[in-house]
Amino acid sequence: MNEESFQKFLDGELSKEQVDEKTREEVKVYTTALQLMKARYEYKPSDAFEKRIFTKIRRRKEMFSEVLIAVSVVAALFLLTLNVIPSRIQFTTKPQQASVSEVFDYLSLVKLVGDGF
Amino acid sequence: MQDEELLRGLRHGEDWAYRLLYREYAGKIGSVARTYLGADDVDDVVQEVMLRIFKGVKRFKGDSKLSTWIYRIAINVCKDYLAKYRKRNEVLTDFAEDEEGSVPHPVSETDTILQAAGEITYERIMSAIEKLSADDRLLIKLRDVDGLSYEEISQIVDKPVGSVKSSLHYARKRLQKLLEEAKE
Repeated sequence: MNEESFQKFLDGELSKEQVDEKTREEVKVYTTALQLMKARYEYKPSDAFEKRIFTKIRRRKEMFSEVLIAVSVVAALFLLTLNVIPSRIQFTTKPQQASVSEVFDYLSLVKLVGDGF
Repeated sequence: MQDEELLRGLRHGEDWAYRLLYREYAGKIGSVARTYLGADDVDDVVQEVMLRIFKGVKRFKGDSKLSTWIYRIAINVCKDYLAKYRKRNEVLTDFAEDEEGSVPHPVSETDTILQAAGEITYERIMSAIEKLSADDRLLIKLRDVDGLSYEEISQIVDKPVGSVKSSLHYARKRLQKLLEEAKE
């Protein structure tokens, strides 16, 4: 048998007439094996299986949209917090500054009185 | 329907697109899985492939045919399964391991097919095929059974075309030799 023509025949590069008798015999057995292989490994999914897969895909879709909503809510809350807290801090710092300076004024008076003794 | 239209539907999570994909590809995915794993029950593999398509379709850039991308996912899932089973030292439910201990005839048409093979029995041919490695079986299936081009196969198995050609050449030779031995 001619190995090269066997391979070429399988690749469709040679026709049946272009290969010798022995190669033709080998090809016959080989293609029979291919046909059996095709029949043996054929897969036909059932309707129940289709249902099962689509239930899973649907569940994933729902989960995805739920996660998306949750992420949006968290992001919105985060942005809200970023905007609200600094404005609150500004309100509280001014009176604090005033009270600290008042305390310092008072303390310096106390020290001066102390020095007099 | 064009690949692009189907892809658009899949990316938008449209039900009709997934149903079409399933009808078009579930059989092919299952058949590849059966060939590669040499196992009967491949429902889990098909399911995993469908879920990976759902998960990854938005990242698919369309630089190959949709079918090529799906085949590639199917083979990756098969490899993962094989590695998982090997790790656990489990044996997959093989075709040859049914209750009667012999390879069952799947369809009546096999008798007609067998007439062409002369004296070799169905069992011997199937046993020869099962002796091949998973990669050899896969290459033979993709090229000689499904008729895919070398370029497509090269993209599916992620190897250069030259390497695919040479691997297939040896795979064919090995099967041929096993069939020769089956005759004796």
